Amino acid sequence: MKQLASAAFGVAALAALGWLLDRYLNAYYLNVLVRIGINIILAVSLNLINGFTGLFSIGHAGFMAIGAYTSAAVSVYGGPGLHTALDPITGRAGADLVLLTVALAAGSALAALAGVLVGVPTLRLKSDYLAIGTLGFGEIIRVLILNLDVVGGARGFTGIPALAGFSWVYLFVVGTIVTVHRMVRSARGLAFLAVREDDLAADVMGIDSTRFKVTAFLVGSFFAGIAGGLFAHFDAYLHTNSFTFMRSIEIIVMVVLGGMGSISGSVASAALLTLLPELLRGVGEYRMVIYSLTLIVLMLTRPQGVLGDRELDLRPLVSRLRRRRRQEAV
Amino acid sequence: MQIGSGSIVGLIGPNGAGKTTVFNMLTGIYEPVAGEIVFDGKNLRGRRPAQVNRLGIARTFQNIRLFANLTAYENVLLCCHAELTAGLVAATLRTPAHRRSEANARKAALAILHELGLEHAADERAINLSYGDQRRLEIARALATRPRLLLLDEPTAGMNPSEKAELTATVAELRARRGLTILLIEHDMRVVMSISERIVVMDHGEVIAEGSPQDVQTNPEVIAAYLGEDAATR
Repeated sequence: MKQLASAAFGVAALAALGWLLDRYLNAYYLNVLVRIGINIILAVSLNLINGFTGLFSIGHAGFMAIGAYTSAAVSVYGGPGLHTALDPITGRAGADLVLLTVALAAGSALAALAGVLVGVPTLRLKSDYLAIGTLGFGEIIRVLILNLDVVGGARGFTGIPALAGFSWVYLFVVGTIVTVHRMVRSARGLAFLAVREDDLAADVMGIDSTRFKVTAFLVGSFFAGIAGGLFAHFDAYLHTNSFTFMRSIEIIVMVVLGGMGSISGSVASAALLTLLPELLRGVGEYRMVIYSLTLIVLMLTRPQGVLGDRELDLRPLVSRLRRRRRQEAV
Repeated sequence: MQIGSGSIVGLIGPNGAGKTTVFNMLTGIYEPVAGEIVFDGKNLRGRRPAQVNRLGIARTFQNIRLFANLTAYENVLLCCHAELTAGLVAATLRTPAHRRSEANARKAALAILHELGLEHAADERAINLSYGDQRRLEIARALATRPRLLLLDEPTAGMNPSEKAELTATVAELRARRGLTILLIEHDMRVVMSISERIVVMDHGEVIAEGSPQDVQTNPEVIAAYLGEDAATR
């Protein structure tokens, strides 16, 4: 199948690029690139819940935390056993591959389950109350983990093998974007938008709004779990301070700025809002003030975000450049 | 209330009589406290709206409830359930079944837009359409779900006489072509009397009269309750 062939080629190219970057790129730049990738996964997955389906969820960091800590626990406690079993067969690198795959799978599966468990009861709630419900969930998760000594508790979780680099992160960046895009930009996927616009009318028109809301939570939290797992295995250290309510707000600002209903908007704003703090190191203390002001200004002037419901379309720009090129040739 | 298959029945009554409430019960938005709703041999009591729609009942709303920020085409497309059989997993994997179902749905949606005279508005957002087009779009969207029973809630409200005549003709045509059963709430007596085979009159939550348009017009109870703003008969 043509799809499989190009996918295989893409993975190989990405692996090669990642290998080069992990080895030769300045550690700081690599760190920024990876964090951009993780934020893209978080923003796009949140956009599915908030932007496309209209569910005002502010607990995304909670799903990320579940993914992070579950996958880290699998690696730390299951790693040695797995290596003993597999190293003779696949070598250390091969066993690492298997370990990370299993860890990420466990983390994202549990995060997805949490997504369903949060999604189903909160469905009955109207937007503001749904927000409070999800906020509560996020905090409950964080405090629960904080009190679990088996994953480090207040000291933090150390000893996580640093298995995730550029390739893994950007493999899932592509995976998240492709999955969400294909789901939502299909005719069947318009149902998510219908649920956002008017969930009662959607029901009456034969769209099971409950099913679509739960699906949005499930897929969104699945990828948040993946982001968490990648984060855990890149930083090789976890502390619950990385999964506070503020983290959820940061992701929301990315989604709202880019456009609630624009995948390319989420990608662009995730990249921008990860880079900006690095470029503006001087005003680091005022970061939260700037974020809050951004949200307020956006809500007043352009609540749909920069791109709103549309995707970034470079075609008019391309055709204009082509026309310019042709004119110059003449 | 009995509605025979293939018939077109008008439901009239003063404001507050409970007509839209009947629609809400028929479509599963409200659950009746007492009594039964049987559609084509199936009991509809307690079924959720999405289920009811899949069983063959569709409706339009009194105060338009289109998917505002979606285009007319998208509003109709997403309701083409008979064609969109492949599901989200298939969509993610881009299976051949998915591609086929999308292509079929696109064709069906465009055909319905054409049938309702809405091709010119296909790529316009629903909120930007003219009032008349919005009413037509509501009908188009309902038809996309392939109903056997179509509930129209004041479809000509707010229209001028020529628009009303056009829509009435369209509804009659649609019903003939598709063999639909239609239950129609209307306040405009000219429209109701001209298109309905039978009329049901409600007041204060109860049916107070049933019969042919002529019978209902001369029924003293109905006249007592109301005979609408437009007392002119055919």
